[in-house]
Amino acid sequence: MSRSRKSLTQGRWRAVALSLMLHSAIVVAAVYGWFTWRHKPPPVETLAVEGSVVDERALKNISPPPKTEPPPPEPVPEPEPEPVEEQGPPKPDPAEIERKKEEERLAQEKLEQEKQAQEKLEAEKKEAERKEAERKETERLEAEKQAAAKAAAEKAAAEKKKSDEAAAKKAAEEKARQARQAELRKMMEAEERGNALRNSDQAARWHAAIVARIERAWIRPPSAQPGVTCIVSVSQVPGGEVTAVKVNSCSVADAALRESVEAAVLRASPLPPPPDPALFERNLELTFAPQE
Amino acid sequence: MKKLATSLLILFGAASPAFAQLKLTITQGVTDPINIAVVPFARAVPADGGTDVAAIIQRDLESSGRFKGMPRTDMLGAPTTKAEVDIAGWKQQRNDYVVVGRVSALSNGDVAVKAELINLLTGLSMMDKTWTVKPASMRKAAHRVADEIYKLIIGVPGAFDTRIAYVSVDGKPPNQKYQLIVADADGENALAILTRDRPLMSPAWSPDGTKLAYVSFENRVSSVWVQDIFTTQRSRVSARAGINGAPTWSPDGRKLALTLSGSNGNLDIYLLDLSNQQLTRLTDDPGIDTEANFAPDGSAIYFTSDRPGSPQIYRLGLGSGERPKRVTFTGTYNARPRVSPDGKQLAVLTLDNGAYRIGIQDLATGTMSILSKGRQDESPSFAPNGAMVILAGRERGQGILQTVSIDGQTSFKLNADAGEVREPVWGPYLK
Repeated sequence: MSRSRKSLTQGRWRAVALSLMLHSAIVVAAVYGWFTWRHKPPPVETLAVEGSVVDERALKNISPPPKTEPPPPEPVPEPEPEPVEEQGPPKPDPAEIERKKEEERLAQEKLEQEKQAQEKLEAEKKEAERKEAERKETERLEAEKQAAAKAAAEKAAAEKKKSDEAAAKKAAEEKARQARQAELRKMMEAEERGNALRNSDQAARWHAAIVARIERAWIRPPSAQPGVTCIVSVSQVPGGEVTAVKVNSCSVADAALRESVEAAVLRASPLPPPPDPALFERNLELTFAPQE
Repeated sequence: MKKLATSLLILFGAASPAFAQLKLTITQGVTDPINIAVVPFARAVPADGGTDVAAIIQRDLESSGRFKGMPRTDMLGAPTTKAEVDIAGWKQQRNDYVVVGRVSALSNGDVAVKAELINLLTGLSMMDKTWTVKPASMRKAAHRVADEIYKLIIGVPGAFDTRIAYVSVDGKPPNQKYQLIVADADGENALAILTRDRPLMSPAWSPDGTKLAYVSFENRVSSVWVQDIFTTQRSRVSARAGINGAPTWSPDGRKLALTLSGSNGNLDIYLLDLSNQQLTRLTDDPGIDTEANFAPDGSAIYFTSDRPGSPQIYRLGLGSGERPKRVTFTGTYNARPRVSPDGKQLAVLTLDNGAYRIGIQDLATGTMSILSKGRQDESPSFAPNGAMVILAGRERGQGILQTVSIDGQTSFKLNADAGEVREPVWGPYLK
């Protein structure tokens, strides 16, 4: 029983809570709605006609466009003027009156016609001015359009140029990188080939030939004793002609010894050429180390 | 850091081909003569007295064995200044050097000898110098030019402007004329400073080159004399009983080493102090000890001794208590030792395959090489630069003097007056 009571009590509380929540929701919705209405932004005014905004000043001296102009007034017949003469003392002759009336009517008509002509002229002038303004506006719009198109074309061209340049630069860089790599590869290959050549019998024979030639040309001075050394740098050109000799250092300070080693190299010029041009070395370092 | 090091390695690795050098070692050379063209100098007639300066220079250089002069008939022209030398043309004719110059008379009567040495291999001038001398000393000026060239190219001073002394013998016994001669190193300008009708022997130069010591038999017995070569003043320094012979000067010039026999006839070596006549005995051996010669530093004497049974060379250090040591072991006969100016070699008279020749013994290694080619050569004496030796030889029964380059490759016969010439000795550098 207590279970059913409790269950009942719980059911009632739930109903109350739900009711509260519903009402709260309604209130909140109402308040929100009110606020939304209050703070609703004014409706955005949208232009019904698309087009450029025309400067007001430019339009000051020209008639408004025909759409907004009311049609020229229809020539409305003037109401018959009231016969005022009857009130005057002299009673004019009715024929005369009639004639005068006719005259007045004709004058009136003429005036009316003149006025109409004047108005028509005026309207035509205005129309012409309006057309001129329209033409000018069209021209201006056209010019603007052309300018915009031109600017766009120029921009596009510039962008294309820029991208072309970037592409060219990238291509050049790639080409240079490839060239460097090729060069490096070539150098490495040449060095490998050179190493192989330098260690070959051909090279050994060539080196021996150079040494023999210089030894035959070296007239040893008395100071060229065992233990003495001179280091000599030699530059040669293909063909073996010696182009430079520099005595870098000698273990003894002896001018005649230096003279003798320099003379030996110059006397030996041209040095024997290598059997394989790839063996050629432009720079030689000679060590003069006399033995007994 | 490691990466940086690697990068550097790569960098240097890649860079190395640009600096690649072929490294070779030269260990051998030749002693071929150096080709030099000594072009006739412009003359100054008559002030130069007809002296051919270029010919003297060329002969001097050639006598050393280190140079070969170009024959004049092969010369293309006669330039007398460097500007006139066609470097390529002279080089084309296989010359390494060219010497040009001119002799001009000065207003005071002197002559100026201007000489230029040009290295044709480099095209550079190595020497451009003027020597001013009296006309009578034209030859001397030429020798000095040769000395300078020799020094520049060979690296040691030339010994062309030096003197020699020797003994000449004219006539046949018993009417013989002995002369002590002083001459230029090339044998020219020979001048007798003493003439006797008894034997003159063993001349020896004082270290300063102003005096000669020698042995004279002018009183029928031997005596040792010292004579000034310029004033010809002489004095007898040893006339002891028995033999007075083989004088040689100590390097300081104050003492003479002599061979004396004393009254018992045993030849030994003594040291005579010239200032006070004090005599010091250096050797004491029953055999013959003679022909002493000082080491250049004065620390020892080398001499000939027959104590091993045949003549050999011994060395005696002059410190106290030192004993003679034998230094020659090649062959059965080695005598007349002369020490080279650097103290490293001995020139000796040696019996080589039945001929008496001049040998050069290396004192460090003991090896001997034969210098001369005659059959009866004698009396070697080093030039003061050690590059040449003068010796006496025989040619067709006649005594001659010759110089031999120290490698034995080049020998030059000296002009000498008619008659026998003996015992040449090469004097020191002149001050």
